[in-house]
Amino acid sequence: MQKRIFLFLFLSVFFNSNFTQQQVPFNGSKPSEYKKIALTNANVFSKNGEIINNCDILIEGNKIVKIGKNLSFSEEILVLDYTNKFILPSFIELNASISLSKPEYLNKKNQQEESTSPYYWNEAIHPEFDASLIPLKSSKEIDEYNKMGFGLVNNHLNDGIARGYSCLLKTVTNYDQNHLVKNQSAAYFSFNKGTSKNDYPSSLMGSVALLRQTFYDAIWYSKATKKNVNISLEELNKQKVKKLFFLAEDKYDIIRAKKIADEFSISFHYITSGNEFEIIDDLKKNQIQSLILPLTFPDNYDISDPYISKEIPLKDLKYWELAPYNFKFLLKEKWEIAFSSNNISANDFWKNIHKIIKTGVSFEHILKALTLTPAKILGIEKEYGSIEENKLAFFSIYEVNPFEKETQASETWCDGIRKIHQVNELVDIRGEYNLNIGNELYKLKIFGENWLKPSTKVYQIIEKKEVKTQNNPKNKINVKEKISLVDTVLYSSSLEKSSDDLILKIIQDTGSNKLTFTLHGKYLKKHSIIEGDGLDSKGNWIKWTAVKNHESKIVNEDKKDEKSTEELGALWFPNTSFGFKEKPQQKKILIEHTTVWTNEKEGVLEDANVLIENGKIKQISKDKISEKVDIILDGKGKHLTAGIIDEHSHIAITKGVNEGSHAITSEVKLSDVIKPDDINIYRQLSGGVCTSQLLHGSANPIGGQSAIIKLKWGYSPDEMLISNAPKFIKFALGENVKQSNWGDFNRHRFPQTRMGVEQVMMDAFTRAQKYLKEKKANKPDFYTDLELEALAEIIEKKRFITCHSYVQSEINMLMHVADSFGFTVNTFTHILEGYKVADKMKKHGVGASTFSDWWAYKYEVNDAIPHNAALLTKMGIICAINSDDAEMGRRLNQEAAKAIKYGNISEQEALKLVTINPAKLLHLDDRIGSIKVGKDADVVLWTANPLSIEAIADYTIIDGIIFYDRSYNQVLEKQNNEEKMRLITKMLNQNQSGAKSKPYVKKRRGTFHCNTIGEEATEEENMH
Amino acid sequence: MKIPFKKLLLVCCFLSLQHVFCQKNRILFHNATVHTGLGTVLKNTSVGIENNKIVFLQNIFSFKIDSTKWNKIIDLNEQALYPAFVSSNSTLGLTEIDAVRATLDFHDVGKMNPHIRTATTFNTDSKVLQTVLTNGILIVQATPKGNTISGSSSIFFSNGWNWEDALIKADDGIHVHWPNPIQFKKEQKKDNDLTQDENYLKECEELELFFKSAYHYSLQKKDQDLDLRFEAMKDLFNGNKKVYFHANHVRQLLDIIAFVKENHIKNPVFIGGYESYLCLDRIRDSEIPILLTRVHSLPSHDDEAIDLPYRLPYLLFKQGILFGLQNEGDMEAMNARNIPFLAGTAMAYGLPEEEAIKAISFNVCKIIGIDKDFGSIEIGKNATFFVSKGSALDMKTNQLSHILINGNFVKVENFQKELYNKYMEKYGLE
Repeated sequence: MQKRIFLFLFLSVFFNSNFTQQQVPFNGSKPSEYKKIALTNANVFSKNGEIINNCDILIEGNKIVKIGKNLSFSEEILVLDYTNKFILPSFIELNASISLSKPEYLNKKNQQEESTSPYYWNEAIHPEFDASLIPLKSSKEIDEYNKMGFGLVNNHLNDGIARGYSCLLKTVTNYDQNHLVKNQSAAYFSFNKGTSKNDYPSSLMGSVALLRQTFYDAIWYSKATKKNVNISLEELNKQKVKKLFFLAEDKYDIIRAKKIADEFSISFHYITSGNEFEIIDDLKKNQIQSLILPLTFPDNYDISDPYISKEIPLKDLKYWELAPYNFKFLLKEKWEIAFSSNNISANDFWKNIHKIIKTGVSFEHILKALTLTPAKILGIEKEYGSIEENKLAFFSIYEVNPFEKETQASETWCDGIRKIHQVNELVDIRGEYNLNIGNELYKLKIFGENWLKPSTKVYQIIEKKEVKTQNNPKNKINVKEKISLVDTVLYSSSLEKSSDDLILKIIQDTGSNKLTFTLHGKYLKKHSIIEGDGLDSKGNWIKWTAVKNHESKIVNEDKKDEKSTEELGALWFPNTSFGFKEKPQQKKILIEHTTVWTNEKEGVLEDANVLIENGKIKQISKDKISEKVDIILDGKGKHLTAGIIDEHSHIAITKGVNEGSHAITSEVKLSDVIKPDDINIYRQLSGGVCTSQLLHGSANPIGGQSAIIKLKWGYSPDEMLISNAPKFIKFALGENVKQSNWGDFNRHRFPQTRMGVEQVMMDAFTRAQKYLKEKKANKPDFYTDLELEALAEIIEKKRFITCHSYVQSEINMLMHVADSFGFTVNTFTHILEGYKVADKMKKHGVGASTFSDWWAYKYEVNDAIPHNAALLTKMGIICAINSDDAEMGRRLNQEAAKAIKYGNISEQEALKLVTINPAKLLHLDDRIGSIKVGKDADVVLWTANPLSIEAIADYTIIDGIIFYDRSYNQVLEKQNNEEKMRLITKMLNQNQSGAKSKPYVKKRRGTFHCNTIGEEATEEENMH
Repeated sequence: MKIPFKKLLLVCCFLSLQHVFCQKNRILFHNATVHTGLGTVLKNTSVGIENNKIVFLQNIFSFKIDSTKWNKIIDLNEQALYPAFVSSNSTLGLTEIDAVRATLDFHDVGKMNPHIRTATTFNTDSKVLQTVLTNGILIVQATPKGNTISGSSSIFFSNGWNWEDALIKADDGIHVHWPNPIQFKKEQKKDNDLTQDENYLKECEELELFFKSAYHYSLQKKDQDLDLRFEAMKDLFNGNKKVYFHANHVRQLLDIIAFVKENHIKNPVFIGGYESYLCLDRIRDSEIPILLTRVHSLPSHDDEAIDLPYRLPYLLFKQGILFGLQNEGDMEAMNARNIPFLAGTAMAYGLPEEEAIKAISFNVCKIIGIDKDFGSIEIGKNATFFVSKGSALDMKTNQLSHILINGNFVKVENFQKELYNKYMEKYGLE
């Protein structure tokens, strides 16, 4: 029943155009058009953001020829009056994806068919796709853009990693034109493989690797003399000089993409996800300067149920609060910032703009981000992006200043073509009225933030005069007193409004009888009166009027001051629970009178002092150290050890721990996908973990390149990565690799047996050897293959293998493979049957990183014994105990102590299993793993003997920075609770005053395991 | 029993010789530090058993050993003596290798399966069981998993010739997995599907109807057709069987408290009870005991205190709530050998040591209904206990020297230790 006022009218007379187009056949006589038009007396938003009042604009054809005040026009010019109206330059959308879908030829069912097509083998890589070649199926979506005030949209295929060319479209066309303004206007990229049916890539790190390999392929293609034609690579090479856009689905995707851009000397404009304000420093460090921000913000949650609201993570709430501030915070950096209206309906567009205005950003900045900046990014600012003489006539007309009041464009001019959206003037009727329905008096209040769709309240103040009889025994006179009772009776009401025309429905429910009024009326602006006729519930026609009370303020108006002083939570590092208000910094720290487990020949020192300065251990002394320091920690009765090193960890990883789609994926890098705000980082700090090796999973024989990080909570991925760390790669053997426990459908990928695994290894290294030879020969046709590159590094002993392994046969096998290619396997991880081949392992020179006591989860761990670590240690093999489990990772000291129970090794040896031994396995024992002068100050102060069940970490210090402090942890806990309560209250208040809310849906909690396939962490059984 | 034949023979000879003289097998464990499992510790105390009962418990300074009264006297030299630790809510004996389907016997098909029982399935020859036993876990509540009502658990010694021999109590209770009230993203729903809330309410109602039907079935006197499911539920309403409600979310816990009141359930137990910390007083008032969620687990929510799972036992203790520890979760069967260390961690995070011991011995026995005979070192109790050289709650010192199950000695080593010894010998290591 809602009335539509937004009529889409094309005038029968076209105002156009200077194009000399090819002739298009048309039906009937040639449409008439008029070319010289003046828009007069308008408020025009100029290039530098000022509003010029009473301004005239002269258009000839599709061009603005003159702008100025009080221009005189000759009679041949059609003059239109725009008094009191506002004219904004049309917006430019950089991230549109209108009616495009992947063409047939891209469907590659399986990888075997790759060679038959002249396109890239992977379905997610289609740089040759050209959006301009696909006709628009309907004008609905592009009309929506026009309605929002967009004149130009850059349209691209929103699918795939190398997505192909976009085309620039204008949002309105004439009878003899199409939408196309510019073909191949830019090229688009992302890390999302979209609808590609190739298994590869199945993880974010796989996407990164694939994109890099594609660029390497393109370089090779441009140089190679002998090659098959490959259209994809040809087009990719052409794109390098074009405008390039990258769709970043997360803030860190920007930095991931920037690294690729730097590697191949290209530059991207980043279409972002909206949380960039959280990492401004990182963006600065990476010299990122061109961002296209979304105009969508997280919705409020429905939090009426406390059981549900407690489930909403603080992280989401903090983001919800600060998301509209993204633009404001980024503005400080003087970067090139544009907006994208992707995923917004025309109805929400100005609402969201006003959310940004409320953050205290001036409209000039917003306007620029919608017009001139995107024009500059596309390199079309000479003709588009502002209302200037000699630019093209792209602008929109508004009845009110849209930056002051939420509204919609009443008409748009696009390339000189006028399109009218609203015939009626928009009227703000909010206020308080005296309502008279059939001579009965009521109060009517029309209010609400959205003046286009206000709410109503109808009530009646009834004065009851009651006579109360009071007995006064003294006077024996019944005193009759008149008492006025004022009662407010509220009726339910609803309002439908279009412009000045409105329908008011009132239901008067007095229990016994129910009266309804349906009133139709018109608002008379001059008199501030609404009058009309309506029906009462008996079907009688009644007259009604509502007279505006001039004293009354519009409810919304006085809210404005409140908004500008909105209480705002601080940005935390990271911006989630247990985040720091300020990043902790390096301090000069003295730990006094404590028991120091040095892990060196000094053994355990009682009542010793340790001085930390500049992130290093400066002095260890039994004597008093009397230097001026920032912090003194009393270690009396406590124990100081080196920080725990987890040799096998899967925490802090973004979108996928396995790129298990191919048997060999040595090209993927865990360092590309570090997730610095994984809560497990902080949790593990509380267990004394300072360093973790993040390993690829074990879904395939040759996995990805490892990342070694320090758990610097609050810092960026780059700061967490240990600089110049030795290079590692994950290999895997056994049941996971041969997909034994993946069900009946996974029986096709080679290998399915341990026999096959050996041959995968042999084949890989044979190819790597050949690759290395060719590389050294320096041939011009040399083809960079990231997969073989990593394997060649192993042969050259520049990269070390950590190999997931269980049974003795496969352990022995890999050592033989390594021997035959002249390198040594660095570490066998899990290695639960290591005790059976300890002599062979010792001979080969490999280390071990094992579980303390896990077994019985797979057939291949049937002979696993908890004495493994002790036996290997006694054999003189460097042995570590690792977690491979986010929970157990914070009790590694307990796990080490199990080697005392099972195998009776000394306490000091046991501690080494989780400190200096893993450091040795990682070739970092010159920097970490023991308490020695000159080494990194990665230390943990425990409440008790670190191997006893009662030991709790009081302090965890990394590089001289206190990242975990047990007493401060309680402050953070409190801070979490208070912040959450504040945000829930804030959201609740907004919800009560009518903000839109959606139900909360919990994300499955999960962690990555060795066997987790795909991008999402799961709760599935851990198969390690 | 997994005792090597030779040793067994020796022990048998010895025992039979003794039997000739006194017909009774009386053994004195002299001078132990006895952790009674009741929250107390008795230093320098001797524990005497006769056949499978504890018959003697006295401080060494208060009596003189009459060696004629005992077939055997073992001087423990102040080693720690503990009552049996219990693995409740466990798949021990029902599973062998998690990844090998043929070895999994704890989850059957069907939504309401109260008649499914573990009593006759428990595998006393499980290798996993052997490795758990040697850390002090001497009693197992073998529990079916999955579905809404997964079935009836039964309680066993962790060592025996066969399930019948090992059985302590058959069908001690049925296990109800309370419906989930929280909607998860992964379950993609169609528009016409119920919301999670509606779905939750619907499932609760379904469960309630099932219980009500079972209740009325139990009231019928004669001539009714036998219904296996309802038959299995009968004893819930007269208190002879427990109802174990598996639930962690606060809404579930509170809904169960109401459910219990309205459905004539005499002996309810919570299994999990993670969010009990949000409604401690309500739980205490309900007097429903908790077999607490695995202490060694991550907080279930990013915002929660990072050590919350470690601290939960202390929080329950402070409120006077009866609780025990169990370790349901990833690889729970093999991990049951770490149950003593769950108690150890709880101790590190505030629970007094003897209370921590109680939480894996007496309390569990009380909650699962075998406290008359098990769970503590008291005169008259079953002789199922073990001796450790140091604190059994600390992996550094958990070294068992004697294990007694139902009055019989069980060896303290297992096949894993044998493999270790075998290879130590191979490499000439010591």
